[in-house]
Amino acid sequence: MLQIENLEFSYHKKKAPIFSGINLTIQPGAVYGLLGKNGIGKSTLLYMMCGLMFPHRGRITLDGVEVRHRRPETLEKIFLVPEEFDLPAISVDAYVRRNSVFYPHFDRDQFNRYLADFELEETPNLGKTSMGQRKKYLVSFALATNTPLLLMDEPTNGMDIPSKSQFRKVIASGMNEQKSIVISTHQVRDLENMIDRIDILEGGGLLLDRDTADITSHLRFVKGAGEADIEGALYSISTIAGYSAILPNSTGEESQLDIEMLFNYAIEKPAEIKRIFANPVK
Amino acid sequence: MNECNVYTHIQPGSTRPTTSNIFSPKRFGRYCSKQIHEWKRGLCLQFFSLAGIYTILMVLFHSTENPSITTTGVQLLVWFGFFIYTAKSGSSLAEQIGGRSKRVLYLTVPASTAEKYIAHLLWTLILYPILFFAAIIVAQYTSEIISSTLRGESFNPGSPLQGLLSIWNGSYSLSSAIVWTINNIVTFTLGATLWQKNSFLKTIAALFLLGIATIFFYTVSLDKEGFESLFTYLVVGNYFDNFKGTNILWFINCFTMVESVVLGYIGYMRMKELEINETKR
Repeated sequence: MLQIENLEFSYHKKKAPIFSGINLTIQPGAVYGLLGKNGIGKSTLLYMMCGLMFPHRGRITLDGVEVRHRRPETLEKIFLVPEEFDLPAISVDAYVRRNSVFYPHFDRDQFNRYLADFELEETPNLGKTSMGQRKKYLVSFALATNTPLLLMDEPTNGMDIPSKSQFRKVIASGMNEQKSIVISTHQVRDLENMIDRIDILEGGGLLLDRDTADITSHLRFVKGAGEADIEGALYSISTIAGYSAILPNSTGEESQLDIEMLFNYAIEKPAEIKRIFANPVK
Repeated sequence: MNECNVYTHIQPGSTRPTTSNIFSPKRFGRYCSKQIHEWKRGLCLQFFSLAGIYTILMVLFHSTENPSITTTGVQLLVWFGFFIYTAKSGSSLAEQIGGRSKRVLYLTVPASTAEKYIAHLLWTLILYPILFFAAIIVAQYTSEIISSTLRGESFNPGSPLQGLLSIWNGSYSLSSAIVWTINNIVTFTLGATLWQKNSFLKTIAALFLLGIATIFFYTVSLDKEGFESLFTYLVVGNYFDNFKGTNILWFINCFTMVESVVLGYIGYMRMKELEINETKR
Protein backbone atom coordinates (compact mmCIF):
# COMPACT_ATOMS: atom_id res chain seq x y z
CA MET A 1 0.00 0.00 0.00
CA LEU A 2 1.35 3.39 -1.01
CA GLN A 3 0.67 6.28 1.31
CA ILE A 4 1.14 9.96 0.56
CA GLU A 5 1.06 12.21 3.60
CA ASN A 6 0.96 16.02 3.54
CA LEU A 7 2.89 16.20 0.30
CA GLU A 8 4.28 19.62 -0.53
CA PHE A 9 6.37 20.45 -3.53
CA SER A 10 7.31 23.47 -5.56
CA TYR A 11 9.59 23.93 -8.56
CA HIS A 12 10.42 27.53 -7.73
CA LYS A 13 10.42 29.16 -4.32
CA LYS A 14 8.69 32.28 -5.61
CA LYS A 15 5.98 30.47 -7.56
CA ALA A 16 2.86 28.79 -6.23
CA PRO A 17 3.50 25.22 -5.05
CA ILE A 18 2.65 22.37 -7.38
CA PHE A 19 1.40 20.35 -4.42
CA SER A 20 0.32 21.68 -1.06
CA GLY A 21 -0.72 19.12 1.50
CA ILE A 22 -1.75 16.18 -0.67
CA ASN A 23 -2.90 13.07 1.15
CA LEU A 24 -3.62 9.93 -0.81
CA THR A 25 -3.66 6.20 -0.21
CA ILE A 26 -3.25 3.75 -3.08
CA GLN A 27 -4.93 0.51 -2.11
CA PRO A 28 -4.31 -2.85 -3.78
CA GLY A 29 -6.86 -4.23 -6.20
CA ALA A 30 -7.82 -0.99 -7.93
CA VAL A 31 -7.00 0.96 -11.05
CA TYR A 32 -6.58 4.66 -10.30
CA GLY A 33 -7.06 7.33 -12.94
CA LEU A 34 -4.90 10.34 -12.15
CA LEU A 35 -6.36 13.23 -14.10
CA GLY A 36 -5.42 16.86 -14.45
CA LYS A 37 -4.72 19.61 -16.90
CA ASN A 38 -1.37 19.85 -18.69
CA GLY A 39 1.40 20.98 -16.35
CA ILE A 40 -0.64 20.44 -13.19
CA GLY A 41 1.88 17.91 -11.82
CA LYS A 42 0.56 14.47 -12.79
CA SER A 43 3.95 13.21 -13.96
CA THR A 44 5.66 14.87 -11.00
CA LEU A 45 3.35 13.03 -8.62
CA LEU A 46 4.05 9.72 -10.37
CA TYR A 47 7.79 10.33 -10.18
CA MET A 48 7.45 11.09 -6.48
CA MET A 49 5.47 7.89 -5.96
CA CYS A 50 8.43 5.86 -7.19
CA GLY A 51 11.15 7.93 -5.51
CA LEU A 52 12.47 9.68 -8.60
CA MET A 53 11.61 13.07 -7.14
CA PHE A 54 11.65 14.09 -3.50
CA PRO A 55 8.91 15.98 -1.65
CA HIS A 56 9.85 19.24 0.00
CA ARG A 57 7.55 18.37 2.88
CA GLY A 58 5.57 15.31 3.81
CA ARG A 59 6.42 11.74 2.91
CA ILE A 60 5.54 8.94 0.56
CA THR A 61 5.81 5.39 1.83
CA LEU A 62 5.32 1.99 0.26
CA ASP A 63 4.58 -0.67 2.85
CA GLY A 64 5.97 1.67 5.48
CA VAL A 65 9.28 2.40 3.71
CA GLU A 66 9.96 5.86 2.30
CA VAL A 67 10.23 5.55 -1.47
CA ARG A 68 12.76 8.41 -1.74
CA HIS A 69 15.48 6.07 -0.41
CA ARG A 70 15.07 4.01 -3.60
CA ARG A 71 15.87 0.80 -1.77
CA PRO A 72 15.98 -2.24 -4.05
CA GLU A 73 13.24 -3.91 -1.96
CA THR A 74 11.04 -0.88 -2.71
CA LEU A 75 12.01 -0.54 -6.37
CA GLU A 76 11.17 -4.19 -7.04
CA LYS A 77 7.62 -3.48 -5.87
CA ILE A 78 7.11 -0.57 -8.27
CA PHE A 79 7.19 -0.39 -12.03
CA LEU A 80 6.95 2.91 -13.85
CA VAL A 81 6.03 3.19 -17.50
CA PRO A 82 7.22 6.72 -18.33
CA GLU A 83 5.66 8.90 -20.99
CA GLU A 84 8.83 8.96 -23.06
CA PHE A 85 11.61 6.43 -22.86
CA ASP A 86 14.27 4.62 -24.85
CA LEU A 87 14.78 0.91 -24.87
CA PRO A 88 18.21 -0.63 -25.43
CA ALA A 89 19.18 -1.92 -28.87
CA ILE A 90 18.73 -5.57 -27.90
CA SER A 91 16.16 -8.24 -28.67
CA VAL A 92 12.93 -8.61 -26.68
CA ASP A 93 14.15 -11.92 -25.33
CA ALA A 94 17.47 -10.44 -24.15
CA TYR A 95 15.64 -7.49 -22.60
CA VAL A 96 13.32 -9.79 -20.69
CA ARG A 97 16.13 -12.10 -19.57
CA ARG A 98 18.28 -9.23 -18.29
CA ASN A 99 15.53 -7.19 -16.64
CA SER A 100 13.04 -9.73 -15.34
CA VAL A 101 15.56 -11.05 -12.80
CA PHE A 102 15.05 -7.89 -10.75
CA TYR A 103 11.35 -8.61 -10.30
CA PRO A 104 10.68 -11.68 -8.14
CA HIS A 105 7.16 -12.28 -9.44
CA PHE A 106 7.84 -11.86 -13.14
CA ASP A 107 5.88 -14.29 -15.29
CA ARG A 108 7.17 -15.01 -18.79
CA ASP A 109 3.96 -16.73 -19.88
CA GLN A 110 1.98 -13.66 -18.93
CA PHE A 111 4.40 -11.51 -20.89
CA ASN A 112 3.98 -13.67 -23.99
CA ARG A 113 0.21 -13.49 -23.59
CA TYR A 114 0.29 -9.69 -23.44
CA LEU A 115 2.51 -9.57 -26.52
CA ALA A 116 -0.07 -11.70 -28.30
CA ASP A 117 -2.87 -9.41 -27.10
CA PHE A 118 -0.99 -6.44 -28.52
CA GLU A 119 -0.26 -8.41 -31.69
CA LEU A 120 3.47 -7.89 -31.15
CA GLU A 121 6.28 -10.13 -32.28
CA GLU A 122 9.60 -10.69 -30.55
CA THR A 123 11.64 -8.07 -32.38
CA PRO A 124 15.44 -8.54 -32.63
CA ASN A 125 16.10 -4.86 -31.85
CA LEU A 126 13.91 -2.94 -29.41
CA GLY A 127 15.82 0.25 -30.13
CA LYS A 128 14.47 0.36 -33.68
CA THR A 129 10.78 0.08 -32.82
CA SER A 130 8.29 2.94 -33.01
CA MET A 131 7.19 4.82 -29.90
CA GLY A 132 3.79 3.08 -29.92
CA GLN A 133 5.40 -0.33 -30.19
CA ARG A 134 7.94 0.46 -27.49
CA LYS A 135 5.06 1.45 -25.21
CA LYS A 136 3.28 -1.83 -25.87
CA TYR A 137 6.43 -3.85 -25.16
CA LEU A 138 7.04 -1.97 -21.93
CA VAL A 139 3.40 -2.15 -20.80
CA SER A 140 3.50 -5.93 -21.42
CA PHE A 141 6.73 -6.22 -19.45
CA ALA A 142 5.41 -3.96 -16.69
CA LEU A 143 2.27 -6.03 -16.19
CA ALA A 144 4.22 -9.29 -16.29
CA THR A 145 6.53 -8.10 -13.49
CA ASN A 146 3.50 -8.39 -11.18
CA THR A 147 4.76 -5.54 -9.02
CA PRO A 148 2.22 -4.53 -6.39
CA LEU A 149 2.30 -0.97 -7.74
CA LEU A 150 2.29 -0.13 -11.43
CA LEU A 151 2.54 3.50 -12.47
CA MET A 152 1.81 4.60 -16.04
CA ASP A 153 2.37 8.08 -17.36
CA GLU A 154 0.25 8.81 -20.44
CA PRO A 155 0.42 5.15 -21.49
CA THR A 156 -1.77 5.54 -24.56
CA ASN A 157 0.24 8.41 -26.07
CA GLY A 158 1.69 7.22 -29.35
CA MET A 159 -0.70 4.27 -29.58
CA ASP A 160 -3.05 3.96 -32.55
CA ILE A 161 -6.81 3.40 -32.09
CA PRO A 162 -6.74 -0.44 -32.17
CA SER A 163 -3.84 -0.41 -29.72
CA LYS A 164 -5.82 1.69 -27.26
CA SER A 165 -8.56 -0.91 -27.08
CA GLN A 166 -5.91 -3.65 -26.83
CA PHE A 167 -4.41 -1.66 -23.98
CA ARG A 168 -7.71 -1.69 -22.10
CA LYS A 169 -7.98 -5.44 -22.62
CA VAL A 170 -4.42 -6.05 -21.44
CA ILE A 171 -4.88 -3.92 -18.31
CA ALA A 172 -8.10 -5.74 -17.48
CA SER A 173 -6.49 -9.16 -17.88
CA GLY A 174 -3.36 -8.13 -15.95
CA MET A 175 -5.22 -6.80 -12.95
CA ASN A 176 -5.60 -8.75 -9.73
CA GLU A 177 -6.32 -8.16 -6.04
CA GLN A 178 -2.64 -7.74 -5.14
CA LYS A 179 -1.94 -5.03 -7.68
CA SER A 180 -2.74 -1.38 -7.88
CA ILE A 181 -2.34 0.54 -11.09
CA VAL A 182 -2.12 4.31 -11.31
CA ILE A 183 -2.66 5.72 -14.78
CA SER A 184 -1.94 9.37 -15.34
CA THR A 185 -3.46 10.84 -18.46
CA HIS A 186 -5.15 13.83 -19.97
CA GLN A 187 -6.76 11.60 -22.60
CA VAL A 188 -9.57 10.61 -20.28
CA ARG A 189 -11.58 8.75 -22.94
CA ASP A 190 -8.83 6.12 -23.06
CA LEU A 191 -9.61 5.16 -19.48
CA GLU A 192 -13.33 4.64 -19.99
CA ASN A 193 -14.64 1.45 -18.33
CA MET A 194 -11.22 0.70 -16.93
CA ILE A 195 -10.70 2.61 -13.73
CA ASP A 196 -12.05 2.03 -10.25
CA ARG A 197 -11.07 5.30 -8.69
CA ILE A 198 -10.66 8.83 -10.00
CA ASP A 199 -8.16 11.35 -8.68
CA ILE A 200 -8.29 14.84 -10.10
CA LEU A 201 -5.34 17.14 -9.45
CA GLU A 202 -6.16 20.83 -9.39
CA GLY A 203 -4.79 23.91 -7.66
CA GLY A 204 -2.03 22.11 -5.78
CA GLY A 205 -4.28 19.48 -4.27
CA LEU A 206 -6.61 16.60 -4.98
CA LEU A 207 -9.91 18.04 -6.06
CA LEU A 208 -11.50 14.63 -6.20
CA ASP A 209 -10.42 11.23 -4.85
CA ARG A 210 -13.38 8.88 -5.16
CA ASP A 211 -14.44 5.43 -6.35
CA THR A 212 -16.32 5.46 -9.61
CA ALA A 213 -19.25 3.77 -7.84
CA ASP A 214 -19.27 6.52 -5.25
CA ILE A 215 -19.24 9.16 -7.98
CA THR A 216 -22.17 7.62 -9.82
CA SER A 217 -24.08 7.31 -6.56
CA HIS A 218 -23.78 11.09 -6.15
CA LEU A 219 -24.04 12.10 -9.81
CA ARG A 220 -26.12 10.93 -12.75
CA PHE A 221 -24.67 11.13 -16.24
CA VAL A 222 -27.03 11.46 -19.18
CA LYS A 223 -26.33 11.50 -22.90
CA GLY A 224 -28.49 12.51 -25.86
CA ALA A 225 -31.11 14.01 -23.56
CA GLY A 226 -33.68 16.63 -24.41
CA GLU A 227 -33.77 20.08 -22.84
CA ALA A 228 -36.51 19.10 -20.43
CA ASP A 229 -34.55 16.08 -19.19
CA ILE A 230 -31.60 18.12 -18.06
CA GLU A 231 -33.45 20.55 -15.88
CA GLY A 232 -31.41 21.17 -12.73
CA ALA A 233 -28.24 19.89 -14.41
CA LEU A 234 -24.99 20.66 -12.63
CA TYR A 235 -23.18 20.67 -15.94
CA SER A 236 -24.34 20.28 -19.51
CA ILE A 237 -23.04 20.46 -23.04
CA SER A 238 -24.95 20.53 -26.27
CA THR A 239 -24.08 17.85 -28.83
CA ILE A 240 -25.54 16.85 -32.22
CA ALA A 241 -27.34 13.96 -30.53
CA GLY A 242 -28.83 16.19 -27.84
CA TYR A 243 -27.56 17.21 -24.43
CA SER A 244 -24.96 15.46 -22.33
CA ALA A 245 -25.27 16.43 -18.70
CA ILE A 246 -24.42 15.72 -15.11
CA LEU A 247 -27.32 15.77 -12.70
CA PRO A 248 -27.55 15.17 -8.98
CA ASN A 249 -28.36 11.52 -8.45
CA SER A 250 -31.37 11.91 -6.19
CA THR A 251 -33.01 8.64 -7.22
CA GLY A 252 -30.00 6.36 -6.79
CA GLU A 253 -30.32 5.38 -10.42
CA GLU A 254 -27.12 3.91 -11.90
CA SER A 255 -25.60 5.61 -14.91
CA GLN A 256 -22.54 5.21 -17.07
CA LEU A 257 -19.74 7.44 -15.78
CA ASP A 258 -18.52 9.91 -18.39
CA ILE A 259 -14.99 10.71 -17.20
CA GLU A 260 -14.43 13.52 -19.68
CA MET A 261 -17.61 15.31 -18.66
CA LEU A 262 -16.86 14.79 -14.97
CA PHE A 263 -13.35 16.15 -15.45
CA ASN A 264 -14.60 19.23 -17.31
CA TYR A 265 -17.22 19.82 -14.63
CA ALA A 266 -14.66 19.45 -11.84
CA ILE A 267 -12.25 21.87 -13.46
CA GLU A 268 -14.99 24.38 -14.25
CA LYS A 269 -16.72 24.23 -10.87
CA PRO A 270 -14.25 22.93 -8.29
CA ALA A 271 -16.17 24.37 -5.33
CA GLU A 272 -19.31 22.48 -6.35
CA ILE A 273 -17.44 19.21 -6.68
CA LYS A 274 -15.91 19.71 -3.25
CA ARG A 275 -19.32 20.46 -1.77
CA ILE A 276 -20.98 17.42 -3.36
CA PHE A 277 -18.29 15.05 -2.15
CA ALA A 278 -17.68 16.73 1.18
CA ASN A 279 -19.41 13.94 3.09
CA PRO A 280 -17.29 10.95 3.91
CA VAL A 281 -17.78 7.82 1.82
CA LYS A 282 -20.49 5.56 3.22
CA MET B 1 15.01 -23.52 -16.98
CA ASN B 2 14.99 -19.99 -18.29
CA GLU B 3 16.39 -17.72 -15.59
CA CYS B 4 13.43 -15.38 -15.82
CA ASN B 5 11.08 -18.24 -15.06
CA VAL B 6 12.74 -19.00 -11.77
CA TYR B 7 10.31 -16.83 -9.83
CA THR B 8 7.24 -17.62 -11.88
CA HIS B 9 5.70 -19.78 -9.22
CA ILE B 10 6.24 -17.40 -6.35
CA GLN B 11 2.98 -15.85 -5.40
CA PRO B 12 2.79 -12.15 -4.58
CA GLY B 13 3.04 -11.62 -0.86
CA SER B 14 5.05 -14.78 -0.27
CA THR B 15 8.07 -14.43 1.98
CA ARG B 16 11.58 -14.45 0.54
CA PRO B 17 14.91 -14.33 2.30
CA THR B 18 15.78 -10.68 2.87
CA THR B 19 18.78 -9.30 1.02
CA SER B 20 20.82 -6.25 1.82
CA ASN B 21 19.47 -2.97 0.52
CA ILE B 22 22.97 -1.57 0.17
CA PHE B 23 24.90 -4.33 -1.56
CA SER B 24 23.95 -7.80 -2.64
CA PRO B 25 26.54 -9.70 -4.75
CA LYS B 26 23.78 -11.58 -6.58
CA ARG B 27 21.87 -8.43 -7.49
CA PHE B 28 25.12 -6.68 -8.39
CA GLY B 29 25.99 -9.53 -10.74
CA ARG B 30 22.59 -9.27 -12.39
CA TYR B 31 22.98 -5.54 -12.78
CA CYS B 32 26.44 -5.91 -14.35
CA SER B 33 25.15 -8.61 -16.68
CA LYS B 34 22.26 -6.37 -17.76
CA GLN B 35 24.62 -3.47 -18.49
CA ILE B 36 27.10 -5.57 -20.45
CA HIS B 37 24.36 -6.96 -22.64
CA GLU B 38 22.91 -3.54 -23.30
CA TRP B 39 26.28 -2.05 -24.14
CA LYS B 40 27.96 -4.85 -26.06
CA ARG B 41 27.31 -3.26 -29.46
CA GLY B 42 28.73 0.07 -28.29
CA LEU B 43 31.72 -1.62 -26.69
CA CYS B 44 32.48 -3.53 -29.91
CA LEU B 45 32.30 -0.26 -31.83
CA GLN B 46 34.67 1.41 -29.37
CA PHE B 47 37.09 -1.50 -29.60
CA PHE B 48 37.29 -1.42 -33.38
CA SER B 49 37.52 2.39 -33.45
CA LEU B 50 40.42 2.38 -31.00
CA ALA B 51 42.16 -0.47 -32.83
CA GLY B 52 41.72 1.41 -36.13
CA ILE B 53 43.03 4.74 -34.84
CA TYR B 54 46.06 3.20 -33.16
CA THR B 55 46.81 1.02 -36.19
CA ILE B 56 47.05 4.18 -38.31
CA LEU B 57 49.21 5.93 -35.70
CA MET B 58 51.55 2.96 -35.36
CA VAL B 59 51.90 2.68 -39.14
CA LEU B 60 52.80 6.39 -39.23
CA PHE B 61 55.34 5.98 -36.41
CA HIS B 62 56.79 2.82 -37.94
CA SER B 63 60.45 2.21 -37.21
CA THR B 64 62.56 -0.07 -39.37
CA GLU B 65 64.56 -1.38 -36.41
CA ASN B 66 62.04 -1.87 -33.62
CA PRO B 67 58.30 -2.55 -33.35
CA SER B 68 56.25 0.69 -33.48
CA ILE B 69 54.97 0.17 -29.95
CA THR B 70 58.44 0.52 -28.52
CA THR B 71 58.92 4.04 -29.95
CA THR B 72 58.55 6.91 -27.48
CA GLY B 73 56.08 8.74 -29.75
CA VAL B 74 53.68 5.79 -29.86
CA GLN B 75 54.04 5.16 -26.14
CA LEU B 76 53.22 8.77 -25.31
CA LEU B 77 50.21 8.61 -27.65
CA VAL B 78 49.03 5.37 -26.05
CA TRP B 79 49.24 6.72 -22.51
CA PHE B 80 47.74 10.07 -23.50
CA GLY B 81 44.93 8.20 -25.23
CA PHE B 82 44.52 5.95 -22.21
CA PHE B 83 43.99 8.85 -19.82
CA ILE B 84 41.60 10.55 -22.24
CA TYR B 85 39.73 7.28 -22.74
CA THR B 86 39.37 6.53 -19.02
CA ALA B 87 38.29 10.13 -18.39
CA LYS B 88 35.69 9.81 -21.16
CA SER B 89 34.51 6.50 -19.75
CA GLY B 90 34.15 8.17 -16.32
CA SER B 91 32.06 10.87 -17.99
CA SER B 92 29.96 8.22 -19.74
CA LEU B 93 27.81 8.02 -16.63
CA ALA B 94 26.27 11.29 -17.84
CA GLU B 95 24.89 9.42 -20.87
CA GLN B 96 22.96 7.10 -18.58
CA ILE B 97 21.56 9.79 -16.32
CA GLY B 98 21.52 12.70 -18.78
CA GLY B 99 18.19 12.71 -20.57
CA ARG B 100 15.05 12.46 -18.51
CA SER B 101 13.88 9.25 -20.17
CA LYS B 102 17.26 7.55 -19.66
CA ARG B 103 17.49 8.74 -16.08
CA VAL B 104 14.05 7.33 -15.27
CA LEU B 105 15.02 3.89 -16.54
CA TYR B 106 18.41 4.06 -14.79
CA LEU B 107 17.01 5.05 -11.41
CA THR B 108 14.08 2.64 -11.42
CA VAL B 109 16.18 -0.50 -11.90
CA PRO B 110 15.82 -2.36 -8.59
CA ALA B 111 19.47 -2.15 -7.57
CA SER B 112 20.92 0.06 -4.86
CA THR B 113 22.73 3.32 -5.62
CA ALA B 114 25.92 1.72 -4.29
CA GLU B 115 25.59 -1.18 -6.74
CA LYS B 116 24.97 1.15 -9.67
CA TYR B 117 27.86 3.41 -8.68
CA ILE B 118 30.29 0.56 -8.04
CA ALA B 119 29.30 -1.04 -11.34
CA HIS B 120 30.18 2.19 -13.15
CA LEU B 121 33.55 2.47 -11.38
CA LEU B 122 34.25 -1.17 -12.04
CA TRP B 123 33.63 -0.77 -15.76
CA THR B 124 35.83 2.27 -16.00
CA LEU B 125 38.60 0.79 -13.85
CA ILE B 126 38.64 -2.71 -15.29
CA LEU B 127 36.52 -3.27 -18.38
CA TYR B 128 37.46 -0.11 -20.31
CA PRO B 129 41.22 -0.41 -19.65
CA ILE B 130 41.10 -4.09 -20.75
CA LEU B 131 39.21 -3.06 -23.87
CA PHE B 132 41.71 -0.24 -24.52
CA PHE B 133 44.83 -2.38 -24.18
CA ALA B 134 43.25 -5.23 -26.15
CA ALA B 135 42.67 -2.72 -28.94
CA ILE B 136 46.31 -1.61 -28.63
CA ILE B 137 47.49 -5.23 -29.01
CA VAL B 138 45.31 -5.65 -32.09
CA ALA B 139 46.67 -2.35 -33.46
CA GLN B 140 50.24 -3.43 -32.64
CA TYR B 141 50.00 -6.59 -34.74
CA THR B 142 47.82 -5.13 -37.49
CA SER B 143 50.16 -2.16 -37.96
CA GLU B 144 53.17 -4.43 -38.22
CA ILE B 145 51.39 -6.61 -40.80
CA ILE B 146 50.51 -3.48 -42.82
CA SER B 147 54.01 -1.98 -42.44
CA SER B 148 55.82 -5.20 -43.35
CA THR B 149 53.56 -5.72 -46.38
CA LEU B 150 53.84 -2.13 -47.64
CA ARG B 151 57.59 -1.78 -47.04
CA GLY B 152 58.59 -5.33 -47.74
CA GLU B 153 60.26 -5.68 -44.34
CA SER B 154 60.29 -8.68 -42.06
CA PHE B 155 57.33 -9.04 -39.71
CA ASN B 156 58.49 -7.88 -36.27
CA PRO B 157 55.56 -7.01 -34.01
CA GLY B 158 57.40 -7.62 -30.72
CA SER B 159 55.69 -9.07 -27.66
CA PRO B 160 52.20 -7.79 -26.72
CA LEU B 161 52.40 -4.21 -25.35
CA GLN B 162 56.19 -4.47 -25.48
CA GLY B 163 57.92 -1.78 -23.45
CA LEU B 164 54.72 0.12 -22.81
CA LEU B 165 55.34 0.22 -19.08
CA SER B 166 58.94 1.44 -19.49
CA ILE B 167 57.69 5.03 -19.50
CA TRP B 168 56.76 4.55 -15.85
CA ASN B 169 60.24 3.38 -14.82
CA GLY B 170 61.81 6.83 -14.69
CA SER B 171 60.49 9.73 -12.66
CA TYR B 172 57.11 8.14 -12.28
CA SER B 173 56.29 4.71 -10.94
CA LEU B 174 53.58 2.34 -12.07
CA SER B 175 51.79 2.93 -8.78
CA SER B 176 51.43 6.59 -9.85
CA ALA B 177 49.85 5.48 -13.12
CA ILE B 178 47.30 3.41 -11.23
CA VAL B 179 46.59 6.12 -8.66
CA TRP B 180 46.20 8.80 -11.33
CA THR B 181 43.93 6.57 -13.39
CA ILE B 182 41.67 6.03 -10.38
CA ASN B 183 41.69 9.76 -9.62
CA ASN B 184 40.99 10.55 -13.26
CA ILE B 185 37.98 8.21 -13.34
CA VAL B 186 36.54 9.36 -10.02
CA THR B 187 36.94 13.04 -10.95
CA PHE B 188 35.20 12.64 -14.31
CA THR B 189 32.51 10.47 -12.73
CA LEU B 190 31.82 13.26 -10.25
CA GLY B 191 31.76 15.66 -13.20
CA ALA B 192 29.11 13.46 -14.81
CA THR B 193 26.91 13.72 -11.72
CA LEU B 194 27.29 17.51 -11.75
CA TRP B 195 26.87 18.18 -15.48
CA GLN B 196 25.01 15.83 -17.74
CA LYS B 197 25.43 17.87 -20.92
CA ASN B 198 29.00 18.09 -22.25
CA SER B 199 30.14 16.51 -19.01
CA PHE B 200 33.65 15.71 -20.27
CA LEU B 201 34.41 19.23 -21.51
CA LYS B 202 32.84 20.90 -18.49
CA THR B 203 34.91 18.77 -16.12
CA ILE B 204 38.08 19.70 -18.00
CA ALA B 205 37.06 23.37 -17.85
CA ALA B 206 36.36 23.06 -14.11
CA LEU B 207 39.76 21.44 -13.48
CA PHE B 208 41.44 24.17 -15.53
CA LEU B 209 39.67 26.89 -13.55
CA LEU B 210 40.53 25.12 -10.30
CA GLY B 211 44.18 25.11 -11.33
CA ILE B 212 44.07 28.82 -12.17
CA ALA B 213 42.35 29.55 -8.85
CA THR B 214 44.99 27.57 -6.93
CA ILE B 215 47.84 29.46 -8.61
CA PHE B 216 46.02 32.74 -7.98
CA PHE B 217 45.47 31.82 -4.33
CA TYR B 218 49.15 31.08 -3.70
CA THR B 219 50.21 34.17 -5.64
CA VAL B 220 47.98 36.37 -3.53
CA SER B 221 48.63 34.67 -0.18
CA LEU B 222 52.41 34.58 -0.55
CA ASP B 223 53.90 38.06 -0.46
CA LYS B 224 57.29 39.06 -1.87
CA GLU B 225 59.12 37.85 1.24
CA GLY B 226 57.27 34.58 1.16
CA PHE B 227 58.32 34.00 -2.42
CA GLU B 228 61.90 34.93 -1.62
CA SER B 229 62.05 32.53 1.33
CA LEU B 230 60.48 29.76 -0.76
CA PHE B 231 62.99 30.43 -3.52
CA THR B 232 65.82 30.45 -0.97
CA TYR B 233 64.60 27.17 0.53
CA LEU B 234 64.17 25.38 -2.77
CA VAL B 235 67.04 26.71 -4.87
CA VAL B 236 69.66 28.38 -2.69
CA GLY B 237 69.22 25.75 0.01
CA ASN B 238 69.92 23.13 -2.64
CA TYR B 239 66.62 21.45 -1.84
CA PHE B 240 66.45 19.92 -5.30
CA ASP B 241 69.97 18.52 -4.93
CA ASN B 242 68.89 16.59 -1.84
CA PHE B 243 65.47 15.84 -3.27
CA LYS B 244 64.32 12.23 -3.00
CA GLY B 245 61.88 11.57 -5.81
CA THR B 246 60.32 8.53 -4.15
CA ASN B 247 59.37 10.51 -1.05
CA ILE B 248 57.51 13.21 -2.90
CA LEU B 249 55.94 10.61 -5.20
CA TRP B 250 54.74 8.68 -2.19
CA PHE B 251 53.26 11.87 -0.75
CA ILE B 252 51.56 12.77 -4.06
CA ASN B 253 50.17 9.25 -4.42
CA CYS B 254 48.77 9.29 -0.88
CA PHE B 255 47.28 12.74 -1.39
CA THR B 256 45.76 11.65 -4.72
CA MET B 257 44.26 8.53 -3.13
CA VAL B 258 42.69 10.54 -0.32
CA GLU B 259 41.38 13.02 -2.90
CA SER B 260 39.94 10.12 -4.93
CA VAL B 261 38.13 8.76 -1.88
CA VAL B 262 36.67 12.19 -1.09
CA LEU B 263 35.62 12.84 -4.71
CA GLY B 264 34.24 9.31 -4.97
CA TYR B 265 32.15 9.81 -1.85
CA ILE B 266 30.80 13.15 -3.13
CA GLY B 267 29.95 11.46 -6.43
CA TYR B 268 28.12 8.67 -4.58
CA MET B 269 26.13 11.16 -2.51
CA ARG B 270 25.23 13.08 -5.69
CA MET B 271 23.94 9.82 -7.18
CA LYS B 272 21.89 9.10 -4.07
CA GLU B 273 20.22 12.48 -4.29
CA LEU B 274 19.73 12.36 -8.05
CA GLU B 275 16.21 13.35 -9.09
CA ILE B 276 14.21 13.77 -12.23
CA ASN B 277 14.02 17.39 -13.25
CA GLU B 278 10.57 17.85 -14.67
CA THR B 279 11.32 21.38 -15.82
CA LYS B 280 14.17 20.15 -18.06
CA ARG B 281 13.40 17.67 -20.80
